[in-house]
Amino acid sequence: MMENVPVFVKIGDYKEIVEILGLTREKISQARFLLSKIGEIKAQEDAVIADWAREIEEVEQRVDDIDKTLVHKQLK
Amino acid sequence: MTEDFFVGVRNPKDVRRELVTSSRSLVEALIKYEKYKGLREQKLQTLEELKSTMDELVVLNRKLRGRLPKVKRKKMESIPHECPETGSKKKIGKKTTAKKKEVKKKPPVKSRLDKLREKIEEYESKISTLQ
Repeated sequence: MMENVPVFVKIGDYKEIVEILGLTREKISQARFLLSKIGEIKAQEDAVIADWAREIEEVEQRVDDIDKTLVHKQLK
Repeated sequence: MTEDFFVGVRNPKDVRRELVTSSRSLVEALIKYEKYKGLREQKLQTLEELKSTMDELVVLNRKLRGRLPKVKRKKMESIPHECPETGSKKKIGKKTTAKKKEVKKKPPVKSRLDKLREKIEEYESKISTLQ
């Protein structure tokens, strides 16, 4: 185990550390923004895919109707 | 001469309408595909941006650690390891000749994922020494 003794940082380094911490915070908020943007795009993608599924169902229904009209009715 | 047979379609207008509507729906689906392609490109671009941001964060974190004073960590001493079969105690780190041969083999090329996993292990061991 490490001893929990106080550590002293040079004043020049300290200023730099504060700067780096500020930059880090900025980057974290940027990453958060990008993640939410990706989430939004993903939701839009999902909506397009759901639309496709609905459209395919509609087309299938129409083809079924045509099939009934052209083939099944003739067989009766 | 062969005779031609015809099949009557009772409501051709409806059939034609259905066919044209289906074609229209399929073209609309293709338009949606173009939209989807655009979205996917946008997503990839954003993911790339996110990756570079994360890389920058790693660099900043490394810088931060570099600026902080170095604290000596206790080195892992060679702990006597008890062999379960013989009961004899062996020191970790001693290698037999057979193991030496294995070491000579070329190490497999590590992927980025492997390197990242190794980094995580390294940090975890550091964290455990700090607790």
